[in-house]
Amino acid sequence: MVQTGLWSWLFFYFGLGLVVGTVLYRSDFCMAGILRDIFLFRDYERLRHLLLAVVLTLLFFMLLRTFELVPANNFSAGDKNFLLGSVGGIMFGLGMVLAGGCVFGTLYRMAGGNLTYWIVCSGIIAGSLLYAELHPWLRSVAGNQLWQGDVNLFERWPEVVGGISWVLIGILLVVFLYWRRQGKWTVIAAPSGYIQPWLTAVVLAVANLLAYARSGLPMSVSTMFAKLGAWLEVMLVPEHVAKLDYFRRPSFVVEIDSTLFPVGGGPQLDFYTYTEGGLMLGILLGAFLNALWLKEFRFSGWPPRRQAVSALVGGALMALGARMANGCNIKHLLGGVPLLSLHSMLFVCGMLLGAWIGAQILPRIILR
Amino acid sequence: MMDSREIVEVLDLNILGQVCPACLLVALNALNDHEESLRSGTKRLVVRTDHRDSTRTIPKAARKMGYEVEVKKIAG
Repeated sequence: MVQTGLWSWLFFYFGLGLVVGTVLYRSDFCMAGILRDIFLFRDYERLRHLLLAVVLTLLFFMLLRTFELVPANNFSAGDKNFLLGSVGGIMFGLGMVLAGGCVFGTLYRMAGGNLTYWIVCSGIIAGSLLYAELHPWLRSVAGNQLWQGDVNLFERWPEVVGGISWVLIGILLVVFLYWRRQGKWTVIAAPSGYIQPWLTAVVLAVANLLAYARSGLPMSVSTMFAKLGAWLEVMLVPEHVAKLDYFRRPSFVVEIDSTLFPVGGGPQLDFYTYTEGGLMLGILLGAFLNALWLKEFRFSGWPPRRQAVSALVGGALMALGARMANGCNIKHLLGGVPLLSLHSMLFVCGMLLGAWIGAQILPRIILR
Repeated sequence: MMDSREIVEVLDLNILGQVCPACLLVALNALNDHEESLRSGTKRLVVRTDHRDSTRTIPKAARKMGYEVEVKKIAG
């Protein structure tokens, strides 16, 4: 009954993806790089851009929620588990540093023809399939039963947390203006057609505002990799896929205007295929068109063996972490944290720890 | 840029295909290995990369170390 409706979701997210892919590619907005370089080179220059994206999104989400302009908060639905969330975060953080890019970073660089990120993408798909095998076991571990469910700080304590959030937003906006006066937002970079990363941060926040206002969910994309993996696996061993719990059952149900959409990583053509799938296609095409336009598209050389292994393992770790935590850095850092989800905050803490571990290991892999 | 007062040896560092942060780490290694001759001007380091972000990170780090840097985009 909602078939026509689903196509409009696809176009909406595809459009968002085109814009997001364009700004990501042009500004080389690499979240893995931003976090890694803090630990590896003590380089804090680009951390401001990430902070800007998160704080602006927090401002937008707070406005929407205060004036009740959103459908039900679909983010808190589904499997939120504090232990899996934080351990997943560590694995994700380590994985993205080894891979050299998070899920968004992988997409926009793949589209520019960078073969390393084709390896990372294969790793993400492989890791998602591995997760599907481990899913029943991971969910049955006793410690994971105890801390089930999400705690949304804003929904739990609206007055206190709302008040703190507004004060925090106010202080940070003043800090941002101060940085502006000091000229700290401008990044000196050589590439042609470079878009300043602060603008990318603003675009990411607006894109998340649009996504959340329409669906009650912030942008996310990592489940789509599991779906791609599931489609591949169905072609090879359909009987096995049919037996896997993770692929058989939806992870949770999205509710929009009293219509229910069950979603998950399985091979079904569900709501996520249209939203995450649309976003993924949009980012790939947007980044690809920009690379063509700037005459930069080419299949760049195969990486040295050690880096190729690191890319593959990193991709797989990212997928395992994201599936354990039910979302990657895009969903948790750019969406869940501004929504004040405790689960997402734990994921981000884990991710920082993981990125730190990665920064200790990585130079040893590269320089031997 | 360099005048012809003496013959300058060009060190070619080919890191095509490598990505962040390998590009920067390898480039920094090369800068340290040849620091003396690079500083005195008897050598020049040419880094060939196809990783877009490296054209930001490597010049930034090298400038911080006091080197003169030029970035050229080569088609194809």
